[in-house]
Amino acid sequence: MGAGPRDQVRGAADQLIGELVHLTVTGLLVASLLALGAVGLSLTFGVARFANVAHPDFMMLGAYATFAFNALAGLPFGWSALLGIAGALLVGVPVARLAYDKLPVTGTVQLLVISIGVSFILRHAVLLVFGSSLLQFAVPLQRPYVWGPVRLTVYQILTLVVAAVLVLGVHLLLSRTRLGRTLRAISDNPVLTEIAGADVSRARLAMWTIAVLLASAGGILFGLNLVIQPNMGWDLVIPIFAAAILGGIGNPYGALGGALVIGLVQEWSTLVIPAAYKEAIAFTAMALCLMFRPRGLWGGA
Amino acid sequence: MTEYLVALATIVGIQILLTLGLTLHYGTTGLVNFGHVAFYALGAYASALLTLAGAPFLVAMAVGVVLAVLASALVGVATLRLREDYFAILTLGFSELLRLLLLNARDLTRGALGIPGIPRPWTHLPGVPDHVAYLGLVLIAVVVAFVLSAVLTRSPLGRTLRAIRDDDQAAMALGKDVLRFRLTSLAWGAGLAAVAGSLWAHYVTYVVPDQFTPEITFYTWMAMIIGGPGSMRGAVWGTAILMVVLEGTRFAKDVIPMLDAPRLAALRQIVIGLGLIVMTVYVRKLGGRGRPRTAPATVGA
Repeated sequence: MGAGPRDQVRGAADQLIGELVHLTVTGLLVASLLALGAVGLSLTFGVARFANVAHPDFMMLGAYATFAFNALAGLPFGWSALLGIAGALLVGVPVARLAYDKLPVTGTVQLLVISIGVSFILRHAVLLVFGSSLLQFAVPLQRPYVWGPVRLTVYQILTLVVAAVLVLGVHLLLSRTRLGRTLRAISDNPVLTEIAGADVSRARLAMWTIAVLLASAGGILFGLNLVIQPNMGWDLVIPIFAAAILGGIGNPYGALGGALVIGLVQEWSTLVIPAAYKEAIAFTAMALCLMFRPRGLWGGA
Repeated sequence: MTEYLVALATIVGIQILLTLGLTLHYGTTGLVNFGHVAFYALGAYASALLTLAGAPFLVAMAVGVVLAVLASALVGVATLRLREDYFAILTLGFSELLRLLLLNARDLTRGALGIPGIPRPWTHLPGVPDHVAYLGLVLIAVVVAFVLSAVLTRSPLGRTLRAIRDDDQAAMALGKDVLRFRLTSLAWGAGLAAVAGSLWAHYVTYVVPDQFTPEITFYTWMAMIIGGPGSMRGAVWGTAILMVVLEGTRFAKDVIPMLDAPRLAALRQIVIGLGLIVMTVYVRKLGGRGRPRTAPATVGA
């Protein structure tokens, strides 16, 4: 006797569940990368009060700095990643301070247009130095660990763990420290915070440092799992803004939730729509959210 | 050399149409449109596909304009109630979504292969070389668009649009239907961009989604800012300056021998980025909504 119809149904169901589990795992990975961008973006949007389109380019900076130490200078990946974050901070923080804090402009639109300029400069400066080809870190290929339908390489596990630790770190910083209190206060009311005697300039320096640190770590993890190219940050602008907006922009915790929704829905969507269109999910989610729940899915401030 | 100058003048003319459209959006009405290239692409593709299907050039261009106006209404109704920075991100996302569609709707657009062999109108005029005749066509379009835009901004409609730009709350309090006026402005500018797209498609006789990246949008922003947003005459000479500078950087290759084509292109983008930043700081008029301005428009009857 061959497989009966019941076995066929069970086989199809198993396959679907396997596929769903696989997509969920991929979605969580995408979500961790997006979260590392979106949490910082949301923080800067709340404190500096403009949409920094160049934020995802900080991810690209981290990835390329790491590539330079790892693939060009031949250092092991761990050291390269730490030096890569340092490199991204050394470039990204002064650039952000200069372009967003020091120029004599204040309008939302002016800062938005300036951030477009910053993004052009960062991307093409990297292109000038490294060229436009796809690059990979010099790390050995890893065989995935298999638990039932779940398959994860050690790099993917590292990605999930590092993203979770960093986001938890930001949470502790915002909720438990004096700096965190100042940042939340500026986000609520910048004028009042300054009147109350807080050092707003120092707080903004700390804010850009946190934002670039998170983003560059995200970019490095992106490079560890995929390939890097100068437009990698620009290509993430819409999904990262979507995650931040879904979470209620200015609310870093919401951004984490937003990243989870975008990452999971984007991957699950490939079950029903052609994979080429999955990039449209983030945009659609963002547009619907802004139309019907402009304060984010969780209705935060 | 004459041929080169005619080609340059044609491209400048097409870009002037784009800049006039954006000037209506941002300069006159205060709409932070970061997706201008979408209307340009719609005009180009509609015109290309229809003429190849046998429609006359002007009919194809008109359909492109209608499509762009409809798209602007769709985008506008969904997003014009939002804050200006959200509107900016959403229009940027819309233009990228459209590019994704053009890339993937292969049955219609041939995707990344592009559409070759688009016929050029006004060839075989007696005694006039083809490229000069086409420049004539572009110049006619520019003059018509310029006069239309100038008349529009000086009309009562234009006064209302400027009033909305300067203080939408006040305009609303005076009984103006702010959303409807913004939609009108968006439609006019989108129509102009579609004419530009159509002229571009029939000039280069080949369209491909790669021609319609957000770079086009930000070149247009740059041109508008150089000329001083809000001035139609400024749109013309701002575009001319931008295009001459961009073309000038082509000759940098002769001065700096180590630059290959991609690196030269990267250098041009860096110049664009720096230019955006410098001009934004320099041109004070580029403020956000609800900021004090030197010469508030009066709301006409």
